[in-house]
Amino acid sequence: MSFIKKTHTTVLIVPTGIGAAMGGYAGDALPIARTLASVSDRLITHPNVLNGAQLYWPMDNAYYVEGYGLDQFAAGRWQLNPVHQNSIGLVLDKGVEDELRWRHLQVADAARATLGLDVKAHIVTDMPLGVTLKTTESGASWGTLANPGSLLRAAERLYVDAKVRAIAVIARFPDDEGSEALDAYRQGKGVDPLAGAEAIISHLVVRTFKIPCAHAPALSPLPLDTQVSPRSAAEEIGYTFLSCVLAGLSRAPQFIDTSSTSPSQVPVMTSGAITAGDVDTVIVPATAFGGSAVMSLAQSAAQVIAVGENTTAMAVNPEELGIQAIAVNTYLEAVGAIAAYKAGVSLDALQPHILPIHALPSALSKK
Amino acid sequence: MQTKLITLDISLQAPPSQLRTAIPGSDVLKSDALRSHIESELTAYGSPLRWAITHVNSANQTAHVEAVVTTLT
Repeated sequence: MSFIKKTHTTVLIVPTGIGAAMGGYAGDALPIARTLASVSDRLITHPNVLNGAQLYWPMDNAYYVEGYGLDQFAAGRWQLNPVHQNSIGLVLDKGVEDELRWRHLQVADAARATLGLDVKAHIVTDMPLGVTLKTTESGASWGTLANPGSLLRAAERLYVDAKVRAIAVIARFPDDEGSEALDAYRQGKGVDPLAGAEAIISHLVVRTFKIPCAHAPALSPLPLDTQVSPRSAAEEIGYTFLSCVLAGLSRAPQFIDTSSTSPSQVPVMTSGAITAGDVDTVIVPATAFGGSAVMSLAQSAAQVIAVGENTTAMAVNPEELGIQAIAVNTYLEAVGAIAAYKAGVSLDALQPHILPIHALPSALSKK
Repeated sequence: MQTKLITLDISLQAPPSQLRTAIPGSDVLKSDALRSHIESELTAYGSPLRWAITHVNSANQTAHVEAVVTTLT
């Protein structure tokens, strides 16, 4: 007798721009993602986990899902449709200087020639995007655009005229050489001051066109700093942060919007598409449970794992939102929790002391 | 179109029917129902693009939300 093995799917979330001790810097959650991908059949995670500027690590079973798309997927409104490859277009902010623009175009050509990626076309926006960075009282970084319409017009040209199915955006970010926030970030401390605005840019494109998108900031090179933290070092080794974005987008799953299906219609199901109901495990820093994706998945995933040592600037614990999570201190413990689940072993059975079976009060006795 | 950063406080107590399970009389808070309620509240300010609860005030049972929304003007 043989069993059909159920596919195990893990979602790893390290929210961007909240100073996560692990994953809040230059793709420094990638080792966590690589490890989780080895114990899961599928790993779904978002660009800032997998993007390490010049560094990236292709994994056949890892799905690169932009944050807005991840939120829609988790809410059950969109599905993920795996692909063999995507054609990619580049949107370049008009605010990017000539030399920086050429550096990015050379990355695109290098990705075509050296990696064989289908980077099809590029376009310069009709206005500077006007990125503004903000840090709120919570400590999170956010951002706004002066000309979001210009971004969407450029993306539309790529989508309609060049027929690309993934978009990389290169926006000129303000140089802030010498600021306390930047110095802290380079030393692997504090909050990434760019991350919140980056998310806004990619969210706008994904919300409008429902195709994969990721962002690479264009910045002037920084002077050498011998005290740069290993967690931030990946962003010190090149002219751009674009190569990881192109590698990720080249195989990012496409989105299928199922939210518009009326009750009288048969629900859309594409063969091989991944749904929120397929997610077995979701892993989140223990203080960052206030995001849309985890709040959706927490009700349906078999395991919700809160990782204590990945501290953040947030203060939202699972219990405060009625979420029953498995509290672990490290990602290594999270890996063990997945292995136990896949083996059909209760985590209680792995403790030295096992309590008698718990008795719940009846619903009536609570009144 | 404009992008705007906003903050707001959402009560975790009301309306119970929107935050809790559909089972009559249940007192179990459902995080997915809360997510849906926050999205609904944000639409008063624009079209929600990105948001998060940044802390919960246990004393007065409110969730503090930071969000970026888009508006047409």
